[in-house]
Parts: sequence; C-alpha cells; structure tokens
Amino acid sequence: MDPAQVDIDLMSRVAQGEESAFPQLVERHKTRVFQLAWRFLGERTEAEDVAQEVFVKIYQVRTSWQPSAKFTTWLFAITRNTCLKILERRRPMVSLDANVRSGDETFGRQLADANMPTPAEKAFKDEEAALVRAAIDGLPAQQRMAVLLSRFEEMSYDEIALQLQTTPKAVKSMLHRAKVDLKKKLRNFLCI
Amino acid sequence: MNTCPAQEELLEFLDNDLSPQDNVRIQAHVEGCARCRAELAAFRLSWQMLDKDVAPVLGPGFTDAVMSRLRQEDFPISKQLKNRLGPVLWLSLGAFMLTGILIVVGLSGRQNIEASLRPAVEPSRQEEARQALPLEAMEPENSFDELPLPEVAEPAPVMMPVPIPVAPVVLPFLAQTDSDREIIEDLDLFEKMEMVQKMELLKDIDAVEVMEEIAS
Ligand SMILES: [Zn+2]
Repeated sequence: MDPAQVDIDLMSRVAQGEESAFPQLVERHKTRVFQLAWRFLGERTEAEDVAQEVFVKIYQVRTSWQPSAKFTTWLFAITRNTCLKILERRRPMVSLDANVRSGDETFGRQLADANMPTPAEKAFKDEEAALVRAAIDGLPAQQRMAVLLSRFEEMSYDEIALQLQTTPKAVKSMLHRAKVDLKKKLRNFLCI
Repeated sequence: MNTCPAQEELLEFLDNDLSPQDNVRIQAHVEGCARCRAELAAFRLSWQMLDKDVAPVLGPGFTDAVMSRLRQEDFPISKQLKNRLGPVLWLSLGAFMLTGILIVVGLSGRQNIEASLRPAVEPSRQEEARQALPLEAMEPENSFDELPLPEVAEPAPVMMPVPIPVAPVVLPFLAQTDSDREIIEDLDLFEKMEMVQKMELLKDIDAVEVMEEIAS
C-alpha cells in the first residue's frame, strides 16, 4: 500500500479513538522527525524533546485532523514549528556566532561507521563531520530548514514552500544562497 | 571563450532548471572552461558532503516514552482543559466556596443578631403581628425591619457573590501557550474558551440560586 495512504489510515483510526494505532504511527516517523530536529538544532536532548513534543501534539489534536493533506506535510510543519520554538527559547543564551558550538556537542556525535577506522581516519572523519555540522549550523534558520528538507527529505520546491509558508520561487532563491554558502565553507575539504 | 555564467545560472544548470537553449549554452561553456567545471563540481560535492552529517539514532524506548507521556497527561479535551487551567480552576473553585461560606456565615451572623434582639423588642407587638398576618407572611425581615433596632455592634456583612474575574486571567494564559495555534490549536483554544465561558455562566446561576435559597 502507498505509504501516504498507510499514514492516513492509521491517523484516521487514531482520530476515531483507536489508541493502539498511534504507536505504529510513531514508529513509522520517529526517526525522520528526530533526525530533522537534530540536524536543525544540533543537540540530541533537544531533538528528542522536539520529537516527543511533536507526537504529543499530534495526539492532542487527533480529533480535529482532516485527511486533506499528506500526513507528513502536517508532521513536518509541526516539527518545524516546534524546532523554531526551541530556537526562540534558547536564543538569549547562545552566541550570536552560530558556528561556535561546544566541542563536546560537535565531536560527540555518533558517526555511523561500521568499519573501525584508524585514529587518523577517525580524526579526519570527525573533522569532516564537524565542518559539515558547522556549515549547516551557520545557515540562517529558514535556509537551514530548506536545506534539510531538500537534502534529507528530498522535498520539491513546492513542498518546501508549503512547509516554510513561502513561495517556491523564494525557496529556490533560499536554496541557492545556501548552496553558495555551503560550497564556500566546505571547499577546502573537497577533493577538486 | 564567452564570459563565465553567474553562480545562479550554474546552480539552475545543475537543477535542470534552465530553458533548453540556455542549457545548451551553459553545457557548451562548461565543456571548454575548467573554472566553471570546478565550480559545478564544488556545488555538487558540497551538497553531497552534507551526508557526512550523520544523525544519531533514537533509543529503543522512544515510542514507549511517548505513549506513557500520553497516558500520564491524559488527553481528552476535558483533561487538557483541566491540565492547562488547573491552577485557575482551583483558585476559582476556592474563591467560589469562600464566597459561599461567607454568605452562610454572614447570614447566620445576622440571624444570631436577630435572635439576640428578639427579647429586646416588644413581645406584644410581635404577638399582634403574628395574629394579624397569615403564617406564610411571617418572614422575620418583614416583621423586624419595621421595628426600631437598638444600637448594636455592626453585624458581619452579608457577602454578595461577586462574579470572579476568571476570563481576563484565563484567556491570555491560554493564548500565550499557543504560539503555533495557526496550525493545530485554533479549534482547541476555541473549545476551551467556550467551556470557560460556560463555567462562568454556571457559576453565576449557582450563585443566584444560593442567594435565592438563603433569601427564602
Ligand atoms: Zn567559465
């Protein structure tokens, strides 16, 4: 069955009071929600909180849910909003230079590397990952979200525009600016 | 060699976003221009390099944690209202009960005063009145209000149930928790506002009934 239809069926059951359908929905989408939040916020605990909050909100408003849009459109809209709230909350506490992150946070990330790398390889990979993270972190919030939705969720300009409540043209220009910025920041690591 | 295209055009070329003519033009240029080829490669590779930002994996207990939070928090609308308005509801209830107690205390105080005054007024006039009036008209207020009362210490005031101003407190309280209500919570908020208003109404009706009961 079409995954979008599976979501609609599950959410309809939840909306009708079938609580047991909800864990299935959570299971289907928890990783995407969490990873989007993590990439956007760069902090694991906050990303987990966001993911929980998103599913709690969905459950709270289950009875007013209408299957008029894709479930994931709704899901990502709530994820984005929840992430932005976290950013607003922590704004006074963080450095204005978004590139500056604590070493622990940047280097403490798990690298999905099944083969045991040599220390030199690991150091290189860590550095590479940290550089990418810093480059993503350095993008303005709206651009950052556009990049994540395009790169990791493979959304079209139209879909991103819906999420960011803007026009596809604005999304295109946002992504182009982000790509120029990323290229500039990552260039030294590229083997060209 | 013609001039190099702007970065914007190179990005549109990468996205297959150019008209067929422009596409051919850029393609021809790139084939003869190392600098533009390097630029295109840099755009492509830096975009691919984002994959290095490997996100962690959620722990296995996540879904259970969500479900247990839902069970703890209990989310039927009435419970949501209770959760959000908890402190306000309890305050309102407390204030309302206090009002009730004060009414009762105030009235019993007044009755005690009246009772203590009975022997002080002329018993014969009371007796006359009792005989002259039918039984149902024998309300203490009717008989005593006409009588001159001696100077006594001011009786405990009878408290009127003033409507408790819950609405102005409650509504901003709700609004400030709903910064993303445009997406999901409009309906929710409306329902709650309606319930608060209904509660106010019920409380007022209750108060009137209590007063009527006491008065009769
Ligand atoms: Zn060129």
